[in-house]
Amino acid sequence: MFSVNTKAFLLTFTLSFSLIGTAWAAEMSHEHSTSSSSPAPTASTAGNHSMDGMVDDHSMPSGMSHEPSSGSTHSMDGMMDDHPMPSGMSHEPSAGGTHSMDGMMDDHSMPSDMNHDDMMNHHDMNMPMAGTAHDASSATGDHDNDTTHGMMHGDASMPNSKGLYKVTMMNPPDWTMDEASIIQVSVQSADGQTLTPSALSVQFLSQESSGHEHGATSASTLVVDATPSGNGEYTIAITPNKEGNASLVFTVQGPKGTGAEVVPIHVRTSPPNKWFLSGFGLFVAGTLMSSTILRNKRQLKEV
Amino acid sequence: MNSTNKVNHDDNRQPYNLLKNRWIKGIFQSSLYPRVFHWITVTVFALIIYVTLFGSTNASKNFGTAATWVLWWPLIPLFFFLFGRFWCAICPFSWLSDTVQKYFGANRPVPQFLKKYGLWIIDAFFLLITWSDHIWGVIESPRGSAYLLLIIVALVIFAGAFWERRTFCRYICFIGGLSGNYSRAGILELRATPDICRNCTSKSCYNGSDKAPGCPMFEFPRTMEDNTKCNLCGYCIKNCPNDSIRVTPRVPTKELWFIRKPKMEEAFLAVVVMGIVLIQNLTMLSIWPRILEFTQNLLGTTNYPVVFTTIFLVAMAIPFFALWLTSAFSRVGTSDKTMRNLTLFGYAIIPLDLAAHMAHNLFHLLSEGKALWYTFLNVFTTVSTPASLAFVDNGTIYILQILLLLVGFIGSGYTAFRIARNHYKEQGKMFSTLLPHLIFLGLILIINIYAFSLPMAHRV
Repeated sequence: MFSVNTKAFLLTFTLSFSLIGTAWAAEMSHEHSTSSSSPAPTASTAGNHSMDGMVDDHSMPSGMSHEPSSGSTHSMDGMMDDHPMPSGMSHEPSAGGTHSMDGMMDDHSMPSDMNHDDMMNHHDMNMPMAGTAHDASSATGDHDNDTTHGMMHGDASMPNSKGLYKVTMMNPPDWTMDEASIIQVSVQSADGQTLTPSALSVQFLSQESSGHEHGATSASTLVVDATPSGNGEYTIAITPNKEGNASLVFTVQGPKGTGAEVVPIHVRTSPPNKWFLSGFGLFVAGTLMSSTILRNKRQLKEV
Repeated sequence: MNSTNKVNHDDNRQPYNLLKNRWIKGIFQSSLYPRVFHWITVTVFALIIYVTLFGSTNASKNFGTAATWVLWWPLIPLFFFLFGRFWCAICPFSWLSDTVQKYFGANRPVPQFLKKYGLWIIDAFFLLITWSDHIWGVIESPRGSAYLLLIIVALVIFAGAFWERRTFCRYICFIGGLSGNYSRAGILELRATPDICRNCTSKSCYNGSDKAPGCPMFEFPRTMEDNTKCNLCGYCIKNCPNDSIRVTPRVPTKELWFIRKPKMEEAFLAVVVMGIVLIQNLTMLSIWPRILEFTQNLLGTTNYPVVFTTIFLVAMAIPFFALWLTSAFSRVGTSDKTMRNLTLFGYAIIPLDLAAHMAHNLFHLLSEGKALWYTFLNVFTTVSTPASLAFVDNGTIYILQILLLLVGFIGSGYTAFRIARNHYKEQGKMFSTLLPHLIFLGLILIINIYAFSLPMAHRV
């Protein structure tokens, strides 16, 4: 049916594209699976679906930052409403410092030109069912503004801590999206005494908006249990699945009860898939070499 | 005197030729046309590839995503309507194909299977890309967009390296297939003047000359009857020694009234596009989760690819079978078979396709358009994005969408009327063949109006 040349072309084409397609599918299904993992059972129990966009969309007074600095210990329980903070307060602790900012939620004042209704309209979220890739990151621009309101406030986005514990990251890594990092943490009581909790787990929660006006949703990962590594320290492997501002929510079960401590982190963007780029490069190089050979043969014949 | 009057009368009957304007003719004959546009599109395309590959993975912060899916994709149907396939002449892929061909091209003839099944390949490609977007989230993922563009780049390089002229653009590109259909409803056409061409022996419009290459789309202007392939690159205008080529404004949809050789694959693409608009709307609506949940319960699985593929196939099949059913009613009492009727009237969907496509994307363009500016600034520096990226409020967008849909419906309805008149008037079946198709088009209109009235998701 086809000439030898056509068959050769088709074979080269099919093989090369299988390679590229496989790498692409692998890459995209990875992105997909991580993004669609947001409604993971534990995460949904915690009701984390209204987290996103809080960092970007609510301004803080000048000089304030969500950026964490390395080696610091944070406890920022109750900040989920993320109201602008009074001047002089910072989400960003100085290096090595230990901060406890529990209970800030009630004290935050809003700028005069912003009220709760405005904020809710900006985050007029339409939270669809769990498990759909598109909905996990879709923003809705409804015509009628009739989607669910008010998810920002009073929503149990993060477990509510009573300020029972402080979690310290011993070796804060340079977080990169989709790249596993192993961290070591130690747990102390609120008054600074080292504790040995009965269980420690952590969950990654992105605080980046995935869309505008209405679509702030969170990218979270499954809860990961920490492994004791001696000396009251724990080892945990975490793979952030979204770039930008995020939080690690440590759930501590210890002698003082169950508490959740939030450590803000910043995640760098991931590089493109090397396999895909390599496959693409090989395909292009192979194609151009093959065509050049054919071209030269034809030119020789013509001469 | 009589002779002069006759000549004037004949002149009046000639279609108006824009090339009679020396400025327009000068542009087409300039060696910079369409090259100068290529410089712009290739530069922007290179930037898009760079930022989608190495920039933010957050679509709302990535210029490549915003430029591709908030600006280019919404504007492209309008472009096809106004200027036919002119985009194809300035598309960065066509430049890439030409460049690869110039330095590495084997210039083999186009394989027969591409000639024979090219449109079906385009149909399949279009469906595959839409499906893979929903499975892997291509549009909302800058990396996904980059990989999609690079796969197309690879295809272009492959076609340009082995086959002659712009094989990719004519036989493989899914946008080319779409633009071919849409430009048929458009307001501009390029044609040769048969009386002048009759005595031409050079055929330089097809073969090329020292002024320009031959038609890159394998068209022979002398026999060209439709807009599906011509990309207004102007090579034939430069090459023609007899000034036979004319560029003429025309009544929108007129080309669809007189399809001499209707092709099932072209009609199928029109129906497929309606299915795609349907599924694109569906997945961005607030009722989508309920549809997913219903299908999950029906299938007994929560596997997203399985569930989505099922919905996708149904969404694609619904317009096709609805049209088939319509054609089955429409053909009653005529000498045509159902598939013949379907193929003929399939072309009537194109104006509504175009309108629905534009209406859907109008939402993205007008409600997220400012993203283009802020994401562009983000390439160079860090800027905070305002809470709203909209140019106008949603109510205004909805009104514009409804107006577009109504115009599309009128275009489709009138096209169906002309098709019925041309093919069935002599059999005395004009209205009986037309009525079912008008009802079908009306149903599509109502579904679209309802879909656009529901809350819709943003792209960035």
